[in-house]
Amino acid sequence: MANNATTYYDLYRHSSIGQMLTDALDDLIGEERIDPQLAMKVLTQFDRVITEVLNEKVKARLSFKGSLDTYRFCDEVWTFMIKNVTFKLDNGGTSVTADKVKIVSCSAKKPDDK
Amino acid sequence: MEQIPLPSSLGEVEALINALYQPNPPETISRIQDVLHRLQRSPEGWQLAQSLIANPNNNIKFFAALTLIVKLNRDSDGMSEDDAKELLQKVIGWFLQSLVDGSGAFVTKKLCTALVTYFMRFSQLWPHPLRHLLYSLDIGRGMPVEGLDDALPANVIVGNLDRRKLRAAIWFTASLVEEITKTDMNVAKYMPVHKGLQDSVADATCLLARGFSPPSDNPALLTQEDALTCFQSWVMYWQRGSAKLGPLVALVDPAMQCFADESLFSATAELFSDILSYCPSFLSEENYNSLAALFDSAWAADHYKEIVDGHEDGNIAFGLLMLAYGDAKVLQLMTGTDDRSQRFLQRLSGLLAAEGYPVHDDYIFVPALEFWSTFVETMIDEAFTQESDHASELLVWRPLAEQHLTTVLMNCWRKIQWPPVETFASWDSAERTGFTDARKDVGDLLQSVFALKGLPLVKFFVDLLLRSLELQIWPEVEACAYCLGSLSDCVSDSSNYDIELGRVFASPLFELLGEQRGPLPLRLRQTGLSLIERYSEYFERHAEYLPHALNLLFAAVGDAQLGGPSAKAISTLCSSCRPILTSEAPTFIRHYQTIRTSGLVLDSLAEERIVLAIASIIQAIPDKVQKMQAFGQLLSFFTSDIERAVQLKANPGMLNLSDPNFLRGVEQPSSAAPSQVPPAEEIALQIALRALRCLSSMAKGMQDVKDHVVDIDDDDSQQQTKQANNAELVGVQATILAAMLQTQETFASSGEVVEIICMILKAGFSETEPGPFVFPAEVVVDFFLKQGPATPRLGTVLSTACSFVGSLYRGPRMYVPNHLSRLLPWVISILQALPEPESDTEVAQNGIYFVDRVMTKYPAVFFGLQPFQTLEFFFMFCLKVLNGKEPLPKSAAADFWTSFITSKTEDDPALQATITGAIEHLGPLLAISLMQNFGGNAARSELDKLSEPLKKLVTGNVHAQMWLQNALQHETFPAHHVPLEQRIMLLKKIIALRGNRDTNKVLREFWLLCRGANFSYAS
Repeated sequence: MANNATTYYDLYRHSSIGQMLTDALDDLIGEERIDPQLAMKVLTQFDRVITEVLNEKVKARLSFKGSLDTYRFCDEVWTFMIKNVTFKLDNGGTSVTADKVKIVSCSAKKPDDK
Repeated sequence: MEQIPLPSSLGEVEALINALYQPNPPETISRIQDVLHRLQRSPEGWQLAQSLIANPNNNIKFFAALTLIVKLNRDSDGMSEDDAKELLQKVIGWFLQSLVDGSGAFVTKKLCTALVTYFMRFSQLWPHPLRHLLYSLDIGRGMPVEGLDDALPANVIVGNLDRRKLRAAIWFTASLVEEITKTDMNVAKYMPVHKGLQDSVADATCLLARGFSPPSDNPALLTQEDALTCFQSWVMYWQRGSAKLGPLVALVDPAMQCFADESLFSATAELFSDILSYCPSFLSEENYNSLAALFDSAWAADHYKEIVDGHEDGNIAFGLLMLAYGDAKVLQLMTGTDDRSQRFLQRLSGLLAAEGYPVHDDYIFVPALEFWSTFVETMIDEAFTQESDHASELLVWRPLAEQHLTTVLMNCWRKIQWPPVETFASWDSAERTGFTDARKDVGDLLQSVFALKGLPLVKFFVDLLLRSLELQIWPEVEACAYCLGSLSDCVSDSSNYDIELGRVFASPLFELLGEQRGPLPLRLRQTGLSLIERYSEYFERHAEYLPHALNLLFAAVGDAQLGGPSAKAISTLCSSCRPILTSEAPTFIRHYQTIRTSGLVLDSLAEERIVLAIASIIQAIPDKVQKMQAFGQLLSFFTSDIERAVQLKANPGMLNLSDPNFLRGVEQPSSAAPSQVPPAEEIALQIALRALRCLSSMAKGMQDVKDHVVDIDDDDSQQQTKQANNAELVGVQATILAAMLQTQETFASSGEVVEIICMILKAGFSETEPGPFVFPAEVVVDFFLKQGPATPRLGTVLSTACSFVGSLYRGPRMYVPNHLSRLLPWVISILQALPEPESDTEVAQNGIYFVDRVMTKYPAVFFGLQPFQTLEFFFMFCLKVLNGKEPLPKSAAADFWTSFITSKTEDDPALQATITGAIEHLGPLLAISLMQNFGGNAARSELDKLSEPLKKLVTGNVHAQMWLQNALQHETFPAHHVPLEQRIMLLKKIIALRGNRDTNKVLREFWLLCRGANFSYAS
């Protein structure tokens, strides 16, 4: 019930899956099979569902180690720049390394929802 | 499908509606719905709604209200003001009528929705919907809107309403706020609607207050539950940031009184849980105190006891309410040393000890765990903040908070203990997954707690493990081992931790683990093996435990359930402890040989891991002769396998399934009945694939883990001779290569063979020192040249070729142009063989990437390619791909053109002239292609990628403006409706931006303009 009123970030629209969804909606609009209002609703629904699914359904985990180079907290957004990072995935203990990683994290509740 | 004709009389319509509710085939229902939809949308829809609403049948009345909503949404734009006002009066009249004529509640509620729909269309004509409806309810008929000035004050009217009318007014209010909440209050169209709603708050508050304490006229009608639901909707609307809803806070106390009524308990608990979770600031400190007092009451104690005793069904809402309160007040509870806070926290930790298994029949465990994770995170924040600023305060509350954490840890440890095997097997898959996930959540919590407690936490579980071990309570031992395993990423290599871990690894547990028929249950054996793997770094530091651990793991390799985890642990341990284990290489090879000859066929993945483990030990052997000897021994297993596979393919009659070497090619040898045995050819292929995969594992294991300095000024000839002089190495490489080629030749149609060979080659590309899998560049080139359009998984081969180009820095540089000159025509010939550029997207993408890399690193090789038509073909191919629809090749083509536009060389004027000439020739064509894309042909997600070549064009070529202008005027430009002035305006903007990042934004706006307003729905 509460979720009806909760607003969601649209940041996952820029993920690969979000971009592909938008392309697919563009195609449907181009073929006049849906109207833009419906596309907008689909995207709003996507914002909600992807947030919930990532939160509730995805149980895969990874841990990582690295050297924290810079961090900042501005406008409710944390940013971490980490160097020489090793990610350890929990499926088979595979390790992935990266020279530099930027992590941007927002509160699960949007500032105006708090 | 046969169409149903439109009904010609009201009776026929009623019959159709009634038929909808009868058991009918789906297609009949669908046809009836279609006819009814057409009726609703027809101009007669208004009349139809009016006629049907008088029908005594509830379903027909409901359809009438629905028709009204459809008409309001679709066909009310042209309605005159007078007609609209008249309609309102009529709908209110029907609404009032539904309260007295025995209509079902769902009919009245649908009429509420119809009224709300009216308000959202005609808010200017009906500015005070709630007050006006109350006025009409008071009078008993639909009143004119203008008459509202004569109405009694809302509180008086509400005070006069009987329960029936009161409940209907609450339904309307709930529908009003719920429907309006769905709209955006910042959109101009909905602003008056939101204003109307916010102006109604005082009336709504007064109505709901009455709903919480209704008149005594009709006790069978419960208004409190409706009032709670409606209040919840208003609070959620308040959460969206409206400060004008202050009067609503007066309803908190009356709502809280509903806890006293058991029938309202769930709805009340849900309301307050939502408020605490989503808008905690809605409640005043006084409200919080009331809730705290409530939690301290005997009534709350009863509910709590029910949950803890496992009677969660009716009481889970109370547990969730406690947790929501805890979340909202976590800081105060944590730092509060008063009895009430301590009692509350004690109860919250007790929620982790409720009867039952998490997720299966204990539903409060996971939410309670989430609360305690928040508690620990808050504690970490506060502890680190106060350490410097308020150290004395920290000393007061921290010991108390840590006591609670100890209880939490104990409760979690008990909860994650596995149920008996038969119990677990009786659960459904969701419960089993949920239980395993709950264990993982506990692992996460422990990692957070570690940040606070460090070594004592490890000691806590070590002590617990040793105690349970002594008592032989295996589920407890398993839970301890699991908890210690969860902390493996946190513990450091300090000696204090090693002392504690040493107590575990030196304990009898690991003796028992080795006993295949010992007392330990399977779960504990799995967790024990996993513990060894997780602490592989510990074994690096304490080699004395390593042989025993590995023996134990090897002993478990043959076990059906433990084979996988033990092979994984062997691989991790051997890889990280390789320098210590070099003397054991012959033993491990013998171990492996014993497994193979014993008739036991390992799971393929487990075998690959063991091979990888042995190879990584061989890699660390310092003596080159011993190293090659051990390598040769291991390699011989797989070359023999390949030879056997080839012979079997040629001579299927030699298949002998009693020989373990042939059984390796059968999926599940033990269970395969003769009739299920696949044909000899298939077995041959599987034997070969398995051998190749093992070779690939060897290649990974042989990769050097140390960093070596790459001397880029090293004399080429010296580098080349480094490897060539080692005759033995050359011989081994020849053997490996021959095995791979023989496999590919024998199983020419197998894509998997090609894929694994590519993986083997790639493993050598990243190496800087000579090794058995670090093949000379000419050998790799020769391999590629053998592949043609008929080779399966050609895309993978080309991708490997791309990696090869990137690895050439480590070889003799003087030969690189020669290698590339051989490879480049081969790649282009594969692209030429494609019927269409997009017919194999992987080939097109990797082919373009390959050429891009060559052009960027060795422009002379690329621009010097002969015959010139080959280059011409490639340019045209890339233009076609850029005009196409396939995203991956298109992205590669955009990258290629970006590199092409910026190609230059400083030390070769003749080459520079060729490059300039090529750009001058192709620039106009590229401009046309790009503008077709920005003119609407590109997909939205491709715009940023396509902006890159355009930006480079603008900054890098003096003719760019002219080319782009021509492209914008070209007949192939897709958006003919965009006037030329606007196209020229775009050009001016992008030229002025000089390749700046804002170019992307300008191009995106232009794309939108060309596509039309329909595409501006996404940000």
